[in-house]
Amino acid sequence: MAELFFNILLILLLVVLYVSSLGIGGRRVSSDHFGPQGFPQLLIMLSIPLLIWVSVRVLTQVRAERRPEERFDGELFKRPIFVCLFILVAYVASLNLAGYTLSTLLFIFVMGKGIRYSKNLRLALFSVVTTGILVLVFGRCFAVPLPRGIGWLRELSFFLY
Amino acid sequence: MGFENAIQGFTYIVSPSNLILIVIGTAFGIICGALPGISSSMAIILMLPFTYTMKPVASIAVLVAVYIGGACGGSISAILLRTPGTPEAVATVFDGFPMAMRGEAGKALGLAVTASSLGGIFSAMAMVVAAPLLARLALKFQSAEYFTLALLGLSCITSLGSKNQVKAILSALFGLFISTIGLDPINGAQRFTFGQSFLMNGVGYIPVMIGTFAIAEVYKNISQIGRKEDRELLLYQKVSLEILRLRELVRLWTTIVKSSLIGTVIGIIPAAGGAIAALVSYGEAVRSSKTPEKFGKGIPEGIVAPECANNAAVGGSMVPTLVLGIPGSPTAAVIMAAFLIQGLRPGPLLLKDQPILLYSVFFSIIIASLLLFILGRYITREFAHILKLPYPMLGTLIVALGIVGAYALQNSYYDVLVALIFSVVGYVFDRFHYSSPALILGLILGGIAENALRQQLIIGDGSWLPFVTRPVSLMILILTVIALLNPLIMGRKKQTGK
Repeated sequence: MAELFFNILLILLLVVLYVSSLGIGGRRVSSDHFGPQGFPQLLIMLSIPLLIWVSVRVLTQVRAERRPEERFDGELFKRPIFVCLFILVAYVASLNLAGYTLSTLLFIFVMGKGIRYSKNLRLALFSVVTTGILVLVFGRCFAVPLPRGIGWLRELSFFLY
Repeated sequence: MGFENAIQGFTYIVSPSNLILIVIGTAFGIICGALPGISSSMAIILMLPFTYTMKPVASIAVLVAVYIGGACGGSISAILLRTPGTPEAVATVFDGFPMAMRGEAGKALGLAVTASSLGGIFSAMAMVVAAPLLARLALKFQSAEYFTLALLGLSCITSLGSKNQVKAILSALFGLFISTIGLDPINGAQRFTFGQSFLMNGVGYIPVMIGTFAIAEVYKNISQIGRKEDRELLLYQKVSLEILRLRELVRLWTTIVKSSLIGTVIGIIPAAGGAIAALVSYGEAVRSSKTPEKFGKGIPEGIVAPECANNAAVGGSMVPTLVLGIPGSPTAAVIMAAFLIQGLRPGPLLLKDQPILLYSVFFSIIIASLLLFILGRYITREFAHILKLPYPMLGTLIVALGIVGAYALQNSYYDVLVALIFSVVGYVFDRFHYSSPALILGLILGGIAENALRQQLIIGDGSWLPFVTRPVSLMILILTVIALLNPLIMGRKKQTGK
């Protein structure tokens, strides 16, 4: 049923995008018969019937319980994935606040714990070494302007990269 | 005269100082290529300042070596981490990672390095033998041909969705749709940006790839931790690159030659590039295979085809750069900038005035390609050490590397968000048997397909006839139809037992 819900969500999204495409403006090129909205509209119109077809098949399979290999088994997001996703979202959100170094350091440690790694000392050492290497390679060697954070963390980051 | 120039070019390139430079360039290229977010063009840009004081031929040789190394290096992370290090390595993931998951990472890497090397050598030879002719042919490529080429690339979705063809087609349609987000290249209209300025440039396919392949794979593995299948993750920890045996090379020779040819030709076409070459070549390998159903599950041809093609595209892209002064790829554009910095203007006159240069580039590609065997072996072995980490550490490292890779591409925080969003999409796609590779395929080829289609319709005043009246376009179109129908016909034949 989760797949059915996903497909319905996709259909609704495509309908919204189709409606949105009707408002695409811009300067008209007279000989451009397709226009800027033509290609995406074509794709949406091809996708919706296929999605409906897939959904009907899912529904009939769920009812008849045939072809079990094509059915979805188990819950979609298990607890470890939720934990991982939550940590990842927190990490991405913290990049611009705490800066790359501190965020990554914490992320690697917390994520390791989240995936049930029990050796704290080894994990802490791994976090420090990995963050150091990433900052050195991307921040120093390849001069990538990694996020610096705000306030004193920003000032501090200039010493590192 | 030509032979004398070749001898002179060779003696110049094999001087100790130039050889050392080529070794450094190739190693640097492989390392950069293996790091997600550091593309070949970025690697060349980083190397460029060091070449300012070098002699022209030495500087071009080292940059070409970086290019060759980068095109091969992308396959290392594609095979080991399911994260293509460079856009060119996207198709290598399809079969490289499943092979690594089976505990054959060394073989997969060996196939990638050997194929890259052979592809590079093939394109270098093609470059010297037929450079002016090929360059002129490339100029005949117009919108109709670009569109049919994109269709040919898209035709391999039938092989990427082995579990469910309809869902593979749907995935490709989603990819094509995502490629329309941003400013319309023809009339500048904003499409699906919803007032967000960061969406105006569109959605880059590297962050999407990092999300759907690398991070989504971590979610998948996390959900299995503690189960019996967890042991599978440990199978590929000992990695030692296996160079292909002669017997296997002979078995794969048709794929090698065909993919090298496809790579060289597509490399020559301006703006097509190694990623498209790899995808088209992969599609062709599937089409011509007697066992297309094995693709996507870790088959040698699935690694050899894209790797041969993406390295052959390196030599190919140098043809219009040197002969016409038109860069065949973004990376070749950076190399062209190096020519200009050295006071050389690429084009027909350059080859007339400095014929040794062409041969120098030719031998640089050959030597760098041969060096892939040696350097690839060592760098891969060092890179593979990370696979010995326990999965909680390895998974975290993959995510951290993916996030910084997504960010480093354009120094954009939004690319990180894209990677994050598509990690969830990739995971859901995987669970419901949609095809993430087909999504990427659509995203990569969407821009070229739409632009070429509309441009051709504008040129032809709305007429669709040029797609079938132009010989090259028609030829590619026929190939596309064959590629699309072949797996279906083969599948039906197998069902009926004929």
